[in-house]
Amino acid sequence: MQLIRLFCLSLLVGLAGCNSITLVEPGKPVSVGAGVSVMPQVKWNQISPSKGETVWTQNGPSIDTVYFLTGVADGKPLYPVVGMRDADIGVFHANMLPNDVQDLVVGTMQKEGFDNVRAGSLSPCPFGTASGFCFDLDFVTKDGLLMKGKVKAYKSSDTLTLFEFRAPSEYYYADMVPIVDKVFASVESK
Amino acid sequence: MGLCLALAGCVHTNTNLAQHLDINWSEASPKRVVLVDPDVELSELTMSGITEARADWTATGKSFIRGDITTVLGAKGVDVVVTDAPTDPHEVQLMKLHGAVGTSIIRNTLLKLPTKNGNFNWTLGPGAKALRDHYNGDYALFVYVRDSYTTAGRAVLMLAAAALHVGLQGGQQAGFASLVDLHTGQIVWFNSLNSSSGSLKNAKDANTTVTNLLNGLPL
Amino acid sequence: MSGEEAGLWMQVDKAEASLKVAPNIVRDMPLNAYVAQIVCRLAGDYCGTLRVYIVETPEFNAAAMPNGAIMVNTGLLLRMQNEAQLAFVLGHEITHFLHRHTLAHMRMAVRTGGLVALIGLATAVAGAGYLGSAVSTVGVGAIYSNSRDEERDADANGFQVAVNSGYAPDEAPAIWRFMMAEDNAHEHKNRSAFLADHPQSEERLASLQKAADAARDGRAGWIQNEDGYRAVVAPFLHRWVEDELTRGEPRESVILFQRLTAAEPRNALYQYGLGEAYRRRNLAGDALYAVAAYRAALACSQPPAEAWRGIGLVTMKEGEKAEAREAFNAYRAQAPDATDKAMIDFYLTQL
Repeated sequence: MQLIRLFCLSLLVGLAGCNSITLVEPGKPVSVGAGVSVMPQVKWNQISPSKGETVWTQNGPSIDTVYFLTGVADGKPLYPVVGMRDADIGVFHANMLPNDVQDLVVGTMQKEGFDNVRAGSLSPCPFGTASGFCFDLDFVTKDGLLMKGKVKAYKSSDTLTLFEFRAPSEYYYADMVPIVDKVFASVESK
Repeated sequence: MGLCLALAGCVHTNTNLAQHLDINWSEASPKRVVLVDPDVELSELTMSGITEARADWTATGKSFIRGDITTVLGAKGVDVVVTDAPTDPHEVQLMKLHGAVGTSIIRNTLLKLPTKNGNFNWTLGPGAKALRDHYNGDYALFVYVRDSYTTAGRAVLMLAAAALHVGLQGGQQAGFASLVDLHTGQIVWFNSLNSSSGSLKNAKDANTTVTNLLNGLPL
Repeated sequence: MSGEEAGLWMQVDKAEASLKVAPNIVRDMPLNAYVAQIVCRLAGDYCGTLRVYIVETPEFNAAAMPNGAIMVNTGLLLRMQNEAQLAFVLGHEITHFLHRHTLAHMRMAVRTGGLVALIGLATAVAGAGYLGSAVSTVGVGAIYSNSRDEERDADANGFQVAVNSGYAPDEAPAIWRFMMAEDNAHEHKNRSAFLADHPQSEERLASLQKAADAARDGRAGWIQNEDGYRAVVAPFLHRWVEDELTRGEPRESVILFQRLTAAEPRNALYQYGLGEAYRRRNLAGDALYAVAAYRAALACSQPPAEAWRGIGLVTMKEGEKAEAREAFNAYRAQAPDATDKAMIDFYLTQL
């Protein structure tokens, strides 16, 4: 029905079009793109808005989200930002250091519409069996809701794989981060 | 699904109750619900389709809502404390979190999250105790209403459009109300309202609107 | 007062109430007092009707709401080189308020269109943005669109108000000139918010320059108060420089910090900002410029330890292992509690 489609587009403006949400069951590895898989630990809701982007949520994207970005190539942004060209968003380069990737995440989030985006605690950390890097985020939505985030990433010789968890600072981040840590720790790639 | 087609007068409410609902009152205080700064706005839907907020209608609509809720709950032996918008930074974050959770709840009625499995399970977290301690109420009631009314010009346009079998939207009333357990932060009741015929401009119709808004309130 | 006007006032008052509790409002007393007293001097008898809100966000912008609330972004404060420049911006915005421009042509970020009223949600205070499409509902930094005439009026009268308070006339066209230079640094992007609200044109710059030429003649003792301004913003500069870098617009940041370091070469934070901007811009030759700027920062008093980190990052990428080791070790010594120390230690193991 005409009205329902409009509903989808405007109400669900945070979800591309009106893609259905699928259930992710725990218990076995789940692909999150480009030969990368994780163990979900618990049930999740999965949305897949664009190529190279898998998104999980417990309570809906207005609250919490876990993004799995896989196969980000040299010269490409981390993800599309509505109304901006790749060059304006900022792109990944294969010779980037972890500090540069951190700066790229921060810059992309500022352009996405968040305020006061700050990264901290950048450190090496295992990415499955490989050597990756991690950092934390603090930021504010345009409506003034304080948020926290956690990033875990791995750079191969030519591509970037990056996981990011975002949730409100009030209650949700601390409540969910133990499970998210386990999900991130379970990553395997072919 | 909660849609009201423009020209047919209809009211749709979507009421959700938490599983294992247990309304508890502290013995130490009288039964008290905190009505948190009702977010109400009444507007005029002009011929061009732009909605213009009206301060006068909003002021009276707000006072009807406050008055009617106080009366309805008073009849059940519950005190209502009406608060202004909080200024304490933590309380402000709780308000904003409630907005985010409310958005998710409404989205969930349209496109369900499979993990919820049909259960109504949402919370602001135990930080909500801060509101309990500040206002001394066991529960908080949040109210959000946006209500638009057509001008004469708009009504004429709608009639003309109908004659051509074109649907044109008239005034709409949309909103939600939620009841939060301030000991746990759990949202124990949530009601979303969608109507093409409600009004908050006079006492009698406001009474009906509030009745619809509080549909299924477990107090 | 018409129904429409009262409705706008209601929404504006609501926006101000929201602004008051925004987490990124800067509440520092001396800074607020400093900006408020400039506003007061400019507004004269209307001083009591105005309230200043300093918002921490790196975009260059300031706005006056029709109810007398004036928002000033820290991104704007970073870009001002003296009190006079700030006074001309504030004079422009105050004029919009005093001449009641914004009331007539206000367009709020919140729009209650028909479909939105049906859903009743897009204006509700909502939460997190979704990757690539952050949902913005109540926009506290609302963009007010004024007509050409109103902009000319704000330019002319705002200029006059500031000049009457003794502020150096040449600082007014200077602001436009440097903002346009910064904006031109990036070909494709959307304009800065301030320039979007105040359409740039050579005509307007020319009018301001002409006004400055006329006002300047035969008078001396104009106020610039560079020292006073620098002293007030000094405690915030490190934070505002880092905020600027989070924008992810290194080309514009290079233009900005080139200007600031040219005016104040002994300011370690400006030099550090320039180094970071070059490093991130990363065009041919930028690595050398970055290191030069970092070293300039380190030669100033109270340099930020991050200047060492910057040298380390650049030289490591260039394969200059000894330099990188020295720089990272210096960073670790100067900032033993840096949050990224684990990563820097890791780099050291690779060198």
